[in-house]
Amino acid sequence: MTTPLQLSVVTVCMNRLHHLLRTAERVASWGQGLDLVWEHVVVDWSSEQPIRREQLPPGQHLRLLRVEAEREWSAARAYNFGLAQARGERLMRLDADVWPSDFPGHWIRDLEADQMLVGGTRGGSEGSWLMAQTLFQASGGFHELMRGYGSDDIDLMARLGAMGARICTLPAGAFGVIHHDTALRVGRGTVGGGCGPSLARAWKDALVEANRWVVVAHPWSRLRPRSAYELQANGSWRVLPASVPQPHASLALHLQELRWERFWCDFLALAPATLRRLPRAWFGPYGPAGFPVQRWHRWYWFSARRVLLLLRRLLLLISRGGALP
Amino acid sequence: MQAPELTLIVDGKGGRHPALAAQRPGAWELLMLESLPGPCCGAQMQTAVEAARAELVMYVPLQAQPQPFACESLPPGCFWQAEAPQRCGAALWVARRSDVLAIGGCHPLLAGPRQACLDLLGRLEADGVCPLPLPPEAVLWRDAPLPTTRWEQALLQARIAADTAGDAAVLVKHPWAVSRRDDPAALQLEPSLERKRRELRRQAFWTQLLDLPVVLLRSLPDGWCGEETERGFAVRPWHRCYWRLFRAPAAALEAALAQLLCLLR
Repeated sequence: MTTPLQLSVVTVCMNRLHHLLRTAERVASWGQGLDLVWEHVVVDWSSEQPIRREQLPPGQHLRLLRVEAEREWSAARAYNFGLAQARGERLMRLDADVWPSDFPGHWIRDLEADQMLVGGTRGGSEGSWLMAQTLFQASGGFHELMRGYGSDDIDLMARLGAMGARICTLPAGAFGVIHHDTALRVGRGTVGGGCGPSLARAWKDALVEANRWVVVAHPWSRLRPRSAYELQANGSWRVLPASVPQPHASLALHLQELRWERFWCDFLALAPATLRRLPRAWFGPYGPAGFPVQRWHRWYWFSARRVLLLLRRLLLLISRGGALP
Repeated sequence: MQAPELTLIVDGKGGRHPALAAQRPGAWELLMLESLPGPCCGAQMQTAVEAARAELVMYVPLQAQPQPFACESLPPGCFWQAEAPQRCGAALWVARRSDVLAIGGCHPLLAGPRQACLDLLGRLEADGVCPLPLPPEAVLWRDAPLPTTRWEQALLQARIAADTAGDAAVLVKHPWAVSRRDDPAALQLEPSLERKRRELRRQAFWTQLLDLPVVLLRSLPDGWCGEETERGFAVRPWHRCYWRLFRAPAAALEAALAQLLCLLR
C-alpha cells in the first residue's frame, strides 16, 4: 500500500525562471528535511522560454507541468490549475520568489481542517499559505475573472474568513522572499527608464482596482464554473477556450474603463475629467501586452506632468490663503 | 393576520408611495428605508429584509417607479434592473426573502445603495439563484430631485464616489455571509481595513470634488483635504473657492499641454 501524499507545494512561474532556479533548490532542501511524503508541483504558465526539467532540482518529488498558449499572466487561473493537479492532503502555495524558511514540519502535520496559515512578510509572502485541500475546494479556489496581478489572495482569504475558517498569520521568518520591484509583479521585466517605478505602480494599481471591482460585481464561490484544461500529446496542457469564465458584457466594459482611467490618470497625473475630454485614441486600452505607453507619454511624464502638479499645488495654496480670515 | 404577498422596501422620503402599493393596500406591505434603524444604507436594507412579513421582497430605489402591470405578472424567481451608474446606480430587485436570508441578507456595513444592491445580487448568483433582468417597461426611472446648484451636485457626486470606493474595499476584505449574520464581531471592521476604507473614501471624495490627480492628493499636507468625521467631510470655503476659480482652468491647461505634446511627437 502506498503512503498518501501529505503535502503538495505548488508554484506557478511565467518568465521568472531566474527566481525559480534559486527558490526551487531551497524548497527541495527544505522538503527533504520534512518527515512526511510531499511533492513540488511547478507550473510553467506559457513562459516565452519553456522551463526544462533538467533546469530544476533532480528527484521524484518535483513535477513540472506546462500550460501552453496563455497570452497573459493570470495568477488566479494559473494557481487554480496547479492546485487542481496537486495530490496532497495539504496544499501550500508559494510564488516563484518565495520558499519555506523557518517552517517546521509539525505546522503541516498539526494543521486543522478549518485552518489557513498565511505568510506575514509585507510585500512578499502574504500570498503564500498552507491549508487543507478540502478547505481550498470548499472555497471555490481563486476568482478566475481577475486579470494580472493583485487582490487574488485577499479575496480568497476573505471568502475563507466568511466561511468561518481560522486564518493565522505566520511569523515573518516562516517564508523567505527574494525582494524585487513592482515591475516584475505586473509581468514586465523592465519598464521605462526614469519613469519606470511610476509606470509600474500605476499599472499595478489599475489592475488591483479592477480586480477589486470584479469581487464587488461578481463574487466567487464553489458553484462558479472554472477553466478546464486538456492534456496535449506532447505532455503539455492547454485551456479549453470556451470554459474560461468571462464577465458579462457590461461588467467587462466597466472593468476595461476602470483599468484605463486609473492607469493613465495615475501615470500621467491627469485629473479623470481631463482624460475623458482628450481623444481616446491617444491613450490605448489594457491588453495582453499591457498598457501601450508611447514616447510622448514619457515626455509628458518628464515635463508637463511635473509643471502641472506644481501649478495645481500653487493654486490650492492660493485658494487656501485667499479664503482664510 | 394573513401575511402580505409582497413587501416593498422603499428608499426615499415618506409619502412617496409607489402606485403598485396603493393599488392593493392589504396585499402589499410597505417599509420606508429612511424610517428604519441603521447607521448606513446596507444596515437599513438588512433590517428591512429581516422585518419583512411577505415571502417576496422588492427593493425600490430612490428614483425607481415600478410599473404594476409588469411586476404583477412576474414568474417566481429573482429579478433586477439597475439605473444609470452616473446617478446613484442602485438597482431595483425582487427576490424571495428566504433566498436573501439564506445568504445572510444584505451587507450591513455598506454605505451606498449601489454597492448594497450589487453585492446582494452577486451573492445570490454565487449561491445558485439566478437573478434575471426585468423587462425595460417594468420600471420607470424618474428624475430624482437632484440638488439645484452645480456646487451641490458636485458634492453629491463626490459623496457617491466616496461610498463606491469605500464599499469596494469593505466587500473585498470583509464579504458578507450567512455565518456572519448572528456574529456581533462581524459588524466591526478590522482596524487596518477601517483605515484603508477611510483613506479610499477620502481619496475618492476629494479627487472627484476638486478634480485633482490622486498623486497630488497623496502629497498634500495633512488637513488640506482631510478625512471624514462624524459630520462628513470638512469642506471649507477655500475648497469652494478652488472649485469655482481654478478647477476648470487647470483642467483646460492640462488638456492643452497633453494635446501639444501629442502633436509634437
